[in-house]
Amino acid sequence: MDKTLKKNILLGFFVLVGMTLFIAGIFLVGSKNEMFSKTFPISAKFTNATGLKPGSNIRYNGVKVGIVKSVNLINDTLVQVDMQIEESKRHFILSTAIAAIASDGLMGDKIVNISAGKGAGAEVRNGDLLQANNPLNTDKVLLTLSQSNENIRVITENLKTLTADINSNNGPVQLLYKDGAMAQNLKRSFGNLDAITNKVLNVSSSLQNITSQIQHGNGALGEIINDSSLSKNLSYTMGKLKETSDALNTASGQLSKTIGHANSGKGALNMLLTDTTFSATVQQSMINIKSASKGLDEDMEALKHNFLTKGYFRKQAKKERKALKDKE
Amino acid sequence: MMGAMSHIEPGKQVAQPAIEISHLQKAFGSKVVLSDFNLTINNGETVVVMGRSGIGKTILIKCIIGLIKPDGGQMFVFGKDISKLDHRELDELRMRVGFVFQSSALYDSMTVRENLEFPLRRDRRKKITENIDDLVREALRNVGLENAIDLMPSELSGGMRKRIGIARGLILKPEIVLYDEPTTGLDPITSEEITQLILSLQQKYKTTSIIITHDVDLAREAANRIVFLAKGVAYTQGTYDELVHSDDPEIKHFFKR
Amino acid sequence: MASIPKIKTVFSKSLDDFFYGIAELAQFSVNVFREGIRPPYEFKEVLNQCYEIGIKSFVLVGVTAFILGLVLVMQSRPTMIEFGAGSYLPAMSSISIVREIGPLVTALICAGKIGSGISAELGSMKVTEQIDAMEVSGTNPFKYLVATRILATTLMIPVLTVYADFISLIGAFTGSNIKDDVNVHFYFNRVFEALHYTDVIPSFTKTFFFGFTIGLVGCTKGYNSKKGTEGVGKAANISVVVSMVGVIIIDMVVTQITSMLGYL
Repeated sequence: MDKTLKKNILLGFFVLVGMTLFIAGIFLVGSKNEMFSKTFPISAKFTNATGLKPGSNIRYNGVKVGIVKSVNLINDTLVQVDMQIEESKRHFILSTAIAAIASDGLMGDKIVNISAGKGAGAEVRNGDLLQANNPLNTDKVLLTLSQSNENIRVITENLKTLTADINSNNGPVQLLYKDGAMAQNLKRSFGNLDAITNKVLNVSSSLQNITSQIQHGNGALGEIINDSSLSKNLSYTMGKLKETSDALNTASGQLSKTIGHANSGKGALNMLLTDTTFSATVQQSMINIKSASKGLDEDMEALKHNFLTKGYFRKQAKKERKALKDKE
Repeated sequence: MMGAMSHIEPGKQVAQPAIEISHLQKAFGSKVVLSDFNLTINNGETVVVMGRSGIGKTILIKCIIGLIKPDGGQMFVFGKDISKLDHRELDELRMRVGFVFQSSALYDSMTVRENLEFPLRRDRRKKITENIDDLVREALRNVGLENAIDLMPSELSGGMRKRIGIARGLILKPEIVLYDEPTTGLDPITSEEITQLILSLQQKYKTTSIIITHDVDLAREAANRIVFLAKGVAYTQGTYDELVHSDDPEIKHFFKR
Repeated sequence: MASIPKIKTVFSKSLDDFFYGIAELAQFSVNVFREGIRPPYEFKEVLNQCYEIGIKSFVLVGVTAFILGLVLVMQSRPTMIEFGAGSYLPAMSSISIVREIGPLVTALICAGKIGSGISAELGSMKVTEQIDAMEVSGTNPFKYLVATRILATTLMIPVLTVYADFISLIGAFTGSNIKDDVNVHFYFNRVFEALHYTDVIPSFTKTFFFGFTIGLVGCTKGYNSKKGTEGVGKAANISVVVSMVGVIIIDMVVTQITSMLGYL
């Protein structure tokens, strides 16, 4: 009987410890999944909720505050994402907060990232609809960038012809000042250049924005950046873009000066003919623009090889190929 | 020999036979074991069932205790039709019948003490928790193995196992005991010891017994009556002397061996 | 001695055996439920069997689970590092351990150890008439031997699985720490962060079915084993094979059901 008692005590201990482990495990899992804490609902509407599932994490400035409850289409363009937020985190989230869909690490699940919006607001209430920041479309950014690059190349070609004309000294200078069309041309090129410079500046600033978001950890690319070379690449690209736009700026400034001179008409022809420095300046500008354009080209190439954007370029190339085929 | 018949079961008619078997049939598939077996055993009688191996002797006594369901015929034990009893009544009846198995059937996972305690603890007729130990010791004393109480069955010799098997079969002080080849597989000396043990317990508890055996010595010493089982029926029955001097070639052959 | 049966086989010898085995299992499980729910209940024997099955398998299950957790991490680590996903090791190991490795390894080990043990024990009890002896002592062997064992395996395999999961996670942690230096808190935080209810509940539920299968097969094969020591050995062997296959089939079915319910 004594033996049986001992056995049963051991058995009781065994089962109790097993059950304790199980329940502790359940609670640990639960606490990570907000099953046992009090929550309140909020929602946001996105244009695209790829990869978001019930149970996906919600982070506020990177700290986990809740889970996604459901993802539902509400009309042809919008997806409503209902979220459960821990009651204890309520006072951090203001009604001005912005929700965005981001990625949890390199291969991680999609998450909803909530960040503080501009301006003060009241504490978020049950059922509030947060402002949604739809995913920044890198595809679009890259598209703009490649168009700018193309434009710059065309302008460079134009300018090259122009400088060749100037350098040749074969009377076309005369033509330049006689022929209004030419002047008009030059002016237009200059205007184009200006516009492109602005565009590049915009792209560069939006890239800068992404990078700074990334660096603050609340961007889409979150964790990757910290340990991959992409960050370096991106900032390098940024630097280059800045240089390019600076160079373009300088060039356009110089051209503007030239045209100013030309327009003033005061001994301009003479000056133009005798002053080699002007010619040199134009040439220098050309070189600058060329090198900037080349730099941009290189950056584009680098971006093409970056694995994150590879997909985009591949798609682009495919499209081109297809278009070519269709033409044939 | 009929001295033991008296008043074992108060309230029951003395004349009522302990076991009454009529037209018992049992077949396994197409193999007929018992075709039309009839036997009546009176209270206090010791009947030895003999016959060749595989002829169905063990089947017979397993039918009596309800371990095997017969295909036909009737069996009355203490006047009750075995085939008409429900689970509970059958269990109650089994408490009054001891069964000593051929292989002793000691529970391998239990000590000798636990083996003997098992039927006592399982006896739902009464709560006998306080004197279980006494009953176990008495049973062991009866078979002369008191010091084996804490051994495991695997530590026992063949003869000891048989003794413990007998002790377990008798521990509930049954009115009927069924012995399935109690001396098979033992040397002649041990067989003789077991035979004497059975006889002395018979004397002590005044039980009705059926003994299945090939052991002619056991049959001679224990039997009031011998039933020779062959061809699925009670081929012949009579006292030891009658059978030994029988002219039937089958029986002659058996006893000559 | 046996006369020739009229019909030799229905399909073929092995196919007949197969269907017969299935029918045997089905009939046996019906009996288990029928006998098991009727009082009296053999609580003491259930506890005894739980001890025999649970505690006596603990060390074997524990050691195996630890080693498998360790090996899992050591094997997958280089590949995951190569893909720059080294930080996903805890999540990967916890999900594979809790969903699959823990339950399956426990069940397979127990099918080997407990299944064969039960069927050898019942087989030899049958052969040596111990089962008859029990019945004669007013004990329903179906209740006392079979129902208790099946109940015990059904209850103990889940408990063993919980232990196996935890021990395996500790093994995985050890594996991560051979090459890296991960602290316990961080590791288990990642482990539990990766887990969801939909990982834990289905995989825990299926262990009850594993346990039932192991007990049922072991008891059926043992209880119906043929006379003689050869029959007992064969019963033990078949019981291991059948319960292992059964466990794996149940695993597949449960996985399919879980995925149909949208939990995968």
